[in-house]
Amino acid sequence: MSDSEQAKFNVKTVGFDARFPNTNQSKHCWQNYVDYQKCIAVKGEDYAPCLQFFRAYQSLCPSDWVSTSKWDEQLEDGTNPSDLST
Amino acid sequence: MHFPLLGGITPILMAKDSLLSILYISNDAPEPWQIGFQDEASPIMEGIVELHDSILFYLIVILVLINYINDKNNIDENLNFDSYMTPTSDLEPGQLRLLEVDNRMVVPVDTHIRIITTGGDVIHSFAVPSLGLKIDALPGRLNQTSTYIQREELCGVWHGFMPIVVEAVQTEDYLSWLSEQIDNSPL
Repeated sequence: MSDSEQAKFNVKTVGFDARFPNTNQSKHCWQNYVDYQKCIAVKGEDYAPCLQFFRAYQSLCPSDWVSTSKWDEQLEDGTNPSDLST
Repeated sequence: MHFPLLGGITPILMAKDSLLSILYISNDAPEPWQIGFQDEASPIMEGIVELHDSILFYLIVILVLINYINDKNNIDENLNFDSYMTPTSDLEPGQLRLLEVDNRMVVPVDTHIRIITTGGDVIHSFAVPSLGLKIDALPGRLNQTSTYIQREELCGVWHGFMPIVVEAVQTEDYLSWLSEQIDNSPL
């Protein structure tokens, strides 16, 4: 395997978060999703530090919860129950 | 050692300190806006100042180094795949009935791996006996565990007709598997 191929990947996941030390990581996923939405609402989607939240919830959340049917769609419909006020 | 100018000072003190430190007398007192310590005058305070200086030195070196570490990763890509049991009619000779799957979960060895399980319909369990791993998968909840596989191996479990096959490979093989999967993914 060539070095260039290895350099292509930066396999990463989100690190430990002291707010969520338990086995149950549901809220860890949800909190990062909410934080990302708040972040881009204030700073815009191109603001690089927001990607931290994006990567976190992409790593933690099941795609079923976010993109496939649930949270993203609810955001568009305005029916997402999370408090997204900034 | 004996200095004619300082005849009153005992030889013990003179042997311990250098000539320079004897020639000035430290009469230290706090000053407005003072940042550092006052001059130390006892072995204990000397130790405290020494510790403070060393800690700050290494702390600053480390912080500067950390700030240089730059995240250059721009492309975020996720990999999704399903893994189902191979039906008995599709089995190749040598494959294990009810244990083979179409897509194995390929993971790198000697790496800490986070595993998050959840359920889509009812309560399941993610269990891999040879890894000593068994964790409930509950709808609406994300259960987290981690594993660290030390050698290349293939392990699986049969659990209510939902077999799991974990294939642990070297990092290079894992990366080539990744690129293969990404090239083949419909996205």
